[in-house]
Amino acid sequence: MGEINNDKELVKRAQKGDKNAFDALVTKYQYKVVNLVTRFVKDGDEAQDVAQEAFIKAYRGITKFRGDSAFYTWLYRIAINSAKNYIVSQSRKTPAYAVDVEDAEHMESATVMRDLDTPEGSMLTQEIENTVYQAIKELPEDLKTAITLRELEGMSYEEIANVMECPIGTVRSRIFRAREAIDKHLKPLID
Amino acid sequence: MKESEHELISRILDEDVSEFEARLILKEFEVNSELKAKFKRYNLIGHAMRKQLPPYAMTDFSEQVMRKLSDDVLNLSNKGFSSSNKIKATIGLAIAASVAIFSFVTFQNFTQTEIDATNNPVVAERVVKESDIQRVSKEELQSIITDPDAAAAFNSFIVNHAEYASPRASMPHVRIVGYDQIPPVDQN
Repeated sequence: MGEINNDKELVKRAQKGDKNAFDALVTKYQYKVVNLVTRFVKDGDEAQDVAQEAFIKAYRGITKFRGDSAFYTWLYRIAINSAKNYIVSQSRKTPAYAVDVEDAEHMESATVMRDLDTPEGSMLTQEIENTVYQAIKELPEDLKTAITLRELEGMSYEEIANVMECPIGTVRSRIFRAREAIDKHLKPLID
Repeated sequence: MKESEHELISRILDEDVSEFEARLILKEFEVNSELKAKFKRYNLIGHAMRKQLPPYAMTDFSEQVMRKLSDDVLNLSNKGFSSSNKIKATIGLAIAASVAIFSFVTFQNFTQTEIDATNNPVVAERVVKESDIQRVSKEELQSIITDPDAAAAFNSFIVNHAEYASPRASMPHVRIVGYDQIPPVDQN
C-alpha cells in the first residue's frame, strides 16, 4: 500500500508564503530527496548542496504547483533535474565524473549509498536505527502494530483502523504514543 | 508543551490535519523550537524504521535551506532595489535634462525675439558720443592696465557685458562687442 499523503494543507500554506509550512515540507522530505540525489552525486556534501538547491527551486516554483500530483512526485522531478544538471556541469569539468543518469535514476539508493558510507556518518545512522528498533521492541503490542502499519506499510489512519478494528481516534492516539515513546530514547542521542 | 500539540505534530506528519490545525501548529513552530525539534525527531523515526537515513550526518539541513532562501530573497530584493534605483535615476536625469534644455531654448528664443525686435545688441544700445570714445590698441591697453587686479576687473567687465549673438542657436555662445570708457564726470 502506497502513501496517500499529498501534503495539501502544508502546500497550500507554503503557496501563501508561509515559510514555516515550507520548512515543514523540507523537514519531511529532506532524507528522501538527499537519498535520491545521492544516486547521482557521489560526494555527501555535494549531494546535500544539490538537494538544497532542489528545495530552493521548489520554493520558487511552488505557486505553479497545481496539486494534480502528490507534492513529493513534483519535488522528485525537480530533484532529479537538479542532480542531472549537476552531473552535466561536472562532466564538462571532469569527464571521468560522467555517469549514466538514466541508470542512476533507476538504481536502488541503498546500493549507491553503501559506497558512500563514512565511518562517522555510518556509525551515527546505525546508532539511530538501533535505538529506534530497540524502542519499538519495548512498545506494547497495539502501539507497535499501529506504528509499523503506518511507517513501514504506509497505511492511512482509516486503513489501520480497519485492520486493527478500532476507531480512527484510537489509531491517532496509538501512533502518537508510539512516536512519543520512541522519541524518549532518541532525544538524548540527537541532542 | 501540551500533549495535544504533540499529537498534532504526529498527525501533521501523516497528513491528518485540517487547515486550521496546520495553521495553528505552524504558528507554534515559530515560537516553540522544542516543538519543531520534536517534529524533526518524529520524522526521523519513520526514516530510521524504513532504513532511509543517509549514511552521513545531516545536521541543520532544513535550517540551511531556509537560510539560503532568506539570503536569496534578500539578494533579489537588493538587486531589484539597486537596478530599479538606477533606472529611476537615469529616467529622472533624462527628464531633468530635457526640461532644462527645453526651458533654456524657450527662454533663449523668448529673449532673443525681443532683441530681434530692436535689431540691436543690448550693450550697443547705449549711445556714446564719438568724442567720448577713446580708441586704444591691444598693446596700448596692456600698457594702461598693468595692475593685475585692474586686468581682472576688466576681464570681468567684458564677460559680464557679453551678449547672446544668435537668437536661434540652441547652444549658448557669446559675442564680445567691446567696452567703452566713461569720461570722468565734469565737476564744474
